[in-house]
Amino acid sequence: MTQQNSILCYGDSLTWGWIPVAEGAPTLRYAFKDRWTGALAAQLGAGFHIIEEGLSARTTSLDDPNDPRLNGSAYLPAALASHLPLDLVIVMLGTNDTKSYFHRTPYEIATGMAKLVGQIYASAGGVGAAYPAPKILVVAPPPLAPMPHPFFEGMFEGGREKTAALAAQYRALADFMKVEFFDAGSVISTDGCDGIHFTAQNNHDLGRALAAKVKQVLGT
Amino acid sequence: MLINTKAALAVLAMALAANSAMAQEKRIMVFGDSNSWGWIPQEAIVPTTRYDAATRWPGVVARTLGDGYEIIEESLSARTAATDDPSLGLTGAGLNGLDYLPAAVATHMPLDLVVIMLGTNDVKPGFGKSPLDISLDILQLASVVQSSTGVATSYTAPQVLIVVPPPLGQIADVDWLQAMFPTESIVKSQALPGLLVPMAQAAQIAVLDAGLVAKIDGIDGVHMSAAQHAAIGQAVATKVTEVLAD
Repeated sequence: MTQQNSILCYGDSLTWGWIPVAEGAPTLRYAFKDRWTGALAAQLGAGFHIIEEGLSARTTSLDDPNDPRLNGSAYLPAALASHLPLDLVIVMLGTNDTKSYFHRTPYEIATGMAKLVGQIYASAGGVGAAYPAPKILVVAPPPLAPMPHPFFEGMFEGGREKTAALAAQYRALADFMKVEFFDAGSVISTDGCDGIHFTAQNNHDLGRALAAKVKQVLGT
Repeated sequence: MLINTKAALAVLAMALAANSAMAQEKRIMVFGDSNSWGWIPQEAIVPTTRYDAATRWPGVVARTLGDGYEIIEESLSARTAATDDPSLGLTGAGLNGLDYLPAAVATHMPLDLVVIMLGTNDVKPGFGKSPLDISLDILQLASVVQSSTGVATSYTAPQVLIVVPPPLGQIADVDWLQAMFPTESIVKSQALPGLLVPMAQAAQIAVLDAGLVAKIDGIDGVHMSAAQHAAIGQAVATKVTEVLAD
């Protein structure tokens, strides 16, 4: 049997597949083929297994006072152990950390990402197994765009500037912690009508770009 | 004009067809422990490796149900229903199923069904849980699923199927494993179906007693052979079609 490459995609609404809607919320989810994870799977083809773990509003490492499900660092260790053996984990988070009520600087958000990277480094073995820790690809989400909905505008006050600064912080972090890095903003902008989420075209473009990066990282 | 109208109708028909195909795709999340993760029983007990996706019972369910169903695996070795177990060093939600489940359900929405097979680890002596406590914990997980929402979505909560795990087998003659699953624990695992099945039925939650179709036959006394995975997968697949047909 050919060894399959398993890739865990850990993210927020941008990974879950949030369809941007003019009224803000509630929303529905893109079909798999129109999520970047699905575009990645289609591009990589047979021999790759894509596991999705995207949760809307997820932060890197912060408890959200409105919802106990959203702290990415509280969920990740158990998720990693659940999905081992893994060859690669792609982490794209940080957008929700820029919400105004968290008062987090881009550097502090990178420390949240660093916590997740540390958890992946420490994931070898999982529970009762002897699998090695997967490789790590940190992805900086693209900068936020202007938001027509006033509630989103308040939620992400100052967020555009912060998200625009994330790529440089994550690049530095990736260099420091010896993991791979990709800047999603180098291939897409945030084109959804809400100023936060992706169009299907954004997802296709990002998935295709990440497929090339994944092949490079895994040497396939 | 007429041609444009026809073209528009054709596009509309395609969109409707795509929608109804999507609506028919059933998404099922499996929430379990090592016996759903696919732990291969080992003579040396640990470390283990994982049965491949086609061999573990959620894979058997996927193959049996065929097209139109997507099975999502969320299983973690040593997971309990709702008890903290910091012994293995997993931080955050760790091994406590109740701490992990709400985010997992929201992650995989839209979902039609969540299948829960837990309880085997809850009988460990340090936890001090009776079969009644364990049954109540599992019903609490079911209740979490039934009341779950996505994050800012309009999807409805999934249905639930509780699968009662088969009782523990003959625990291997290894001191630490005997200490982890002493006779008292085996007795608890044997008592679980007698409580959990009627309690689930009383709560009008679909339930399947896997001990009626499979047994724990691994050399460690805790885990299952591929044949038992196949048996559970077949039985769950049949039950799933029943539950989703209602």
